[in-house]
Amino acid sequence: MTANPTVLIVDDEPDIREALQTFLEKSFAGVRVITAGSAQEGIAALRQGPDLVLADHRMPGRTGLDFLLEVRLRSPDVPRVLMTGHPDAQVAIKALNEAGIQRLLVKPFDPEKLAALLRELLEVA
Amino acid sequence: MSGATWSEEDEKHLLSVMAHEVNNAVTPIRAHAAILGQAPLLDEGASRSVAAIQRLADRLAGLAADMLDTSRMHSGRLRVAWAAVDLREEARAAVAEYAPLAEERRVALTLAPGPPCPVVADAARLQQVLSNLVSNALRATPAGGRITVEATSRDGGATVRVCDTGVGLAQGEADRLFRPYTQGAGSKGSGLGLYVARGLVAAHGGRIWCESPGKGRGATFAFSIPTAPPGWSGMASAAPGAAQ
Repeated sequence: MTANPTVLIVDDEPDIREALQTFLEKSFAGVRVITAGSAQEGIAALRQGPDLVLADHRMPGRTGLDFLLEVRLRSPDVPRVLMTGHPDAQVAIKALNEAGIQRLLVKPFDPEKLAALLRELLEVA
Repeated sequence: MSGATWSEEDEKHLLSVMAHEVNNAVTPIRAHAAILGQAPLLDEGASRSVAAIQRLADRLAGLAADMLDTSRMHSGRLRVAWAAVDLREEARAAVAEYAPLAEERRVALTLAPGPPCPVVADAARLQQVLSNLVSNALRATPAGGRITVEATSRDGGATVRVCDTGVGLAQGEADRLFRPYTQGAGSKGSGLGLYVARGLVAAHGGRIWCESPGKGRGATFAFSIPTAPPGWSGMASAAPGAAQ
């Protein structure tokens, strides 16, 4: 795993992007966090080579699930996490089977869960 | 939404949208509280403030969950993930969850001894009901009081009772408490918790009720569910769907 991994957070809510970015950067000294406010911006951000991608499901325009399907096509080795406040069985099944996500984070989650996920998927301390 | 009349569809939509908004606020509140909690040399007052922020965020998250469940109940989308469950272990987990708060409030919270209570049910949903009943009892019971949780099996079903020595209920109050947007006298909240609990117990084919000898004389909130749903084959694949 990269020494200084990059995490991409895609969420249309600026408060969530900012809070999660600050939390992760304060929790992990070597982790760089980049953010995007939509699936379209997220696709552009993939050029920065993230080592982990987190996307909210319900966003204006393309959903987080659609975005992660595209991430899988473009960067199949990058772990993907879907965040949602509306845990729906159909979305979860599609996310697991088609987008190949590693985790489904149900909002509002305990930020420590996110930290544990980074430790596991990126092997950061 | 129409301006002149308020339909059930409007209500479902409102609940869903509000739950989404609350969840979107709680996620960053929790993250910011965690950031503050990591700060070195927080004095005692600041640490208490961080804990209060986290506790209030949990309360908002619970409210959002109740709103989503109410919306699901009203649209018939509430699902139960059937599995073998020991109701007594679920009761033990609920008591353990609230033990620190009970200690802080100087209320004796205990699980009555007894044998296992095997049922086929949705453990997460039963835990939701138990949490609701125990947290309500804690709110209703002043310092020095007692809350006893009992889980028993009998006649093809299992029953959990949460008995407190708290403020009790006035005559006629018990029937109102399970209606939506209804609170007990002097209590706060959305009035959805017991309504959702009733819906979850009903989804298990059971019933929920409360009894009280009167104001100031404590109350018992209880629910019973069948040992297994009708037609249960014992196979996990018979589950009608995952809990949402």
